[in-house]
Amino acid sequence: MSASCEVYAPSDLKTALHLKSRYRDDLHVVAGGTLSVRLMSANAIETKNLMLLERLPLSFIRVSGRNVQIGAMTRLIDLIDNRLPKALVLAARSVRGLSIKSMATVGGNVFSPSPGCDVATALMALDAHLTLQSMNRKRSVPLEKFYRGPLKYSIRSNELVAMITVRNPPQYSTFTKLTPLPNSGPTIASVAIALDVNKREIVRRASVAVGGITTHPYRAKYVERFMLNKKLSNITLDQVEQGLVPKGLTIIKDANASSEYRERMVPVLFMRALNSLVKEVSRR
Amino acid sequence: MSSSKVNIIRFVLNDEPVEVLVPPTEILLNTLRERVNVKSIRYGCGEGSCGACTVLVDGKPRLSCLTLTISVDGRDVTTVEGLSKDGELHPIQKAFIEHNAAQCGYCTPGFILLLKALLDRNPNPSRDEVIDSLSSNLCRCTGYKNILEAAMSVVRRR
Amino acid sequence: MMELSTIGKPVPNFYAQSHATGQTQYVDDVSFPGMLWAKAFRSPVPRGRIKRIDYQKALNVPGVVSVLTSKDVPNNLTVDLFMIGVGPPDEPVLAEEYVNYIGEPICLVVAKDQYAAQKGAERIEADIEELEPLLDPEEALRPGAPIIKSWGHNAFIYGSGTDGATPPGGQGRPYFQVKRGDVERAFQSADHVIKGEYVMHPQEHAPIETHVCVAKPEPDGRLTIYSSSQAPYFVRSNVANVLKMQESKIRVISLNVGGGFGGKVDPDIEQLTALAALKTNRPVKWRWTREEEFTVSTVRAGTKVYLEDAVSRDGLILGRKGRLIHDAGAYSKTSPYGVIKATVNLSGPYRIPSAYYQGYCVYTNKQPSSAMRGYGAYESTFAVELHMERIAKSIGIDSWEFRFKNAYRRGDVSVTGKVMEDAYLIEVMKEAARLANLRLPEHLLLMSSER
Ligand SMILES: Cc1cc2nc3c(=O)[nH]c(=O)nc-3n(C[C@H](O)[C@H](O)[C@H](O)COP(=O)(O)OP(=O)(O)OC[C@H]3O[C@@H](n4cnc5c(N)ncnc54)[C@H](O)[C@@H]3O)c2cc1C
Ligand code: FES
Ligand code: FES
Repeated sequence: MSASCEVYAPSDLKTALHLKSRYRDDLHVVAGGTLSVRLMSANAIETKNLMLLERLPLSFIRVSGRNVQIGAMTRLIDLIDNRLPKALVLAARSVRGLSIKSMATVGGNVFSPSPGCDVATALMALDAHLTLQSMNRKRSVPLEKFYRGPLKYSIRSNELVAMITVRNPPQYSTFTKLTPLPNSGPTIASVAIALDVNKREIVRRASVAVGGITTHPYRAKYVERFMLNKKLSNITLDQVEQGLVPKGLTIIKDANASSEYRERMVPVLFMRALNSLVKEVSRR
Repeated sequence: MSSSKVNIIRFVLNDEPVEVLVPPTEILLNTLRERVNVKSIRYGCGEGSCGACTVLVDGKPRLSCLTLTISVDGRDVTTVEGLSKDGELHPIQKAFIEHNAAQCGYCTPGFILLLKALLDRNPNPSRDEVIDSLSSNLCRCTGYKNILEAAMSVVRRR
Repeated sequence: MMELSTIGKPVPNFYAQSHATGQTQYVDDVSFPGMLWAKAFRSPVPRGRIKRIDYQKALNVPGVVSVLTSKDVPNNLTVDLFMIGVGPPDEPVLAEEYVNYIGEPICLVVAKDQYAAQKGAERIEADIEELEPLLDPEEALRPGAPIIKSWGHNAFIYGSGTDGATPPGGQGRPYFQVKRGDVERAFQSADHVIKGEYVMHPQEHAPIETHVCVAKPEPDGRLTIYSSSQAPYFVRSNVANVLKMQESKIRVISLNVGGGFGGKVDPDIEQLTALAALKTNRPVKWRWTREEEFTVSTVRAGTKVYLEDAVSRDGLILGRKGRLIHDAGAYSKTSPYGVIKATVNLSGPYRIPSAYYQGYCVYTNKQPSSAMRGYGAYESTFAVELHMERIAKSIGIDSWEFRFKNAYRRGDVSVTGKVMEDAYLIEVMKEAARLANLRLPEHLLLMSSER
């Protein structure tokens, strides 16, 4: 920490963006702090100047029809809200414990690497877009395109994530994860599925996101294409297993699980998620 | 401009105003322990995994090892010392004593505060919700059974 | 029957009130004006030879007061439990020429606060020639394995190389052996011979309070040590020995321990904290991080057990051979004692008329292992009970029946020659079955530990 470290806690976005464009990468942005403060304490980042986002009016959930807008500073606990797509609610619920849920923000979760990206995984299956804002520009980036490699994001040094949008999501969605704790806990692997079916339960739209096994979540495109126009309850594990974890991915490992175990669990979680959707669809 | 260089931090700690001078990157855990001399919040990991350092900020649970002191400027901070009023223990504290929910006691204040935050949010949580919420915190002595019993006894009494 | 006043009744923890109000005092709560903080610079490699240490940059960090190396330690050998017969003293307080596990302390940085101490430790540069590490204890026993101990082989044998009186041991020799009866004959007359291998991985105690110590030099030349140790007397004799001080000049205050589980039995931090306090003439605190707690504090030893039983047609154990390999990690700590306990316990609570057990205490380039809740007994129990299941299964007899048949009865003699005066295993198993809602066959229920 240099002696000249300035601290800002702006209460309006305009000031925040002004500071961001003035300092660019010389400004360390702190949202909920669960990752950023940890890195600071570990001396893992040389702190220049600090900007706390928590006073910004970016904590909101707006629901209109089937569209959802979520402010970047919304805490994960507030996503446990029945108006939101189920995958998102389940992902937020699965985050370990009340304290982390109350501190971590949605905006921060999008940056957070595995195993801490459950909400981002659900958002990816819901085709979420990020609103990236700078002083004089606002652009929308699909979450999937946001990741450009491990810890590499398509965000410019003068931008902040202001909001996350989910437009007209599929009617059905779910999220499952494997964790060593009985309820919510650290992620070993996770799968989020979102889909639409017609009256005869034929899949008309499907997206599948896999989280917790690579640095950031990814979409299992092959499986999505395979599911299209199939009857939901006819899809079996051996048809999709190959496509869930494409060859060549770098799978992480940590104290909770090896990379081999993580990889092997993805098909299991996919089937759990799929079966719960089959049940839900048949109940409608 | 609403921003300013922050050095002097003022907050209310258990109903008493506090003023401290801190470096910008100091975590609340260290400020409270080393500068304000509140010892009931404890270092267990410094990275959010154990919950021994839990405090309430404006009533919400915060891990003080992941909270910058500068961020509590102007806010209300509660530690376990703030729960008993005029010598009368808070019902959660009483339940922990009755149910023998503390063995070495190192984790206890964190659990009590976390449970208070949960019950203030949802006075009637299910057993699963209690387990789920308390999974922020670790205890290595009790095996959790007595902690959960203490927690459920407070829920039932409400 | 007389009404019992205490037995069977819950007794409130007399700290309950102070725990629930957060008023219990732990060592981390001790603080003095002008207190310094310590932080270790640790080995980044499992095995290596230190060629050069450069700590000038650490001294240049604002707030850093002193950097201690092995040269500053008056007697650079942790004696640990040697004074109660558990040895040998083989562990330097700060590494000298060699490092033997990742995290072994090389220097201690003392600074005005924890931030400066951390920064100081990060600035130390060490040129360490990496040597091939020894990670598998069975590998360590093979001829030709790299030798990591000064006495010429990787196993501990009482006396050898340390007292100069006993002949040197060898690579393949066990440390502790138990023999009873004619085990070879038992195997010749057996109807079944059943073998098994059992591996238990190391375990970390992970107390929520990490190791922490405050040492304060007193104006009269004495030293006060506040320690989270479970064993304050070990602390006092070790510090006295390492600092070459009289024990009577050292006062150890043991406050509430925030969880220990055996992990705070070995004096791991007190010697250096005390030394830092004397060198700087200031109170010094050293508190391990969670990472240090996991990577350098002691663990329960990883253990491998080979068992081979001679069993008769009607399900009686006639003899057992056991070979137990205890991974001590880089240094002895209390491992040799653990090996004795583990080896003796290879009979479990069963009547084994003839036996031959061998216990090996083996060194590897890993964090040292030591005490943890019932250590020794626990590792062999794990192996023995799995083996009992395996035998029952392979000779086609119910495992409850098999245990009842072979349980110690009153008057039986243990493998070490102890006469069992108060055997109760059969009664305990009956009660366990009842609590588990398991119906045992009538003939087992009729059995008792009386002869
Ligand atoms: C003990 C523990 C358990 C956890 N368990 C889980 C779990 O079970 N599931 C799970 O999904 N996650 C888990 N996490 C991870 C946690 O969810 C993430 O760390 C969190 O979501 C990050 O959000 P934050 O608000 O704390 O961000 P911060 O830590 O404040 O910031 C993270 C990064 O994002 C950047 N950033 C944040 N917001 C913005 C913005 N609006 N614009 C630009 N940049 C921004 C920051 O600069 C920083 O680089 C856990 C974390 C801990 C410590
Ligand atoms: S010390 Fe803050 S969570 Fe462990
Ligand atoms: S009582 Fe010891 S850690 Fe919980």
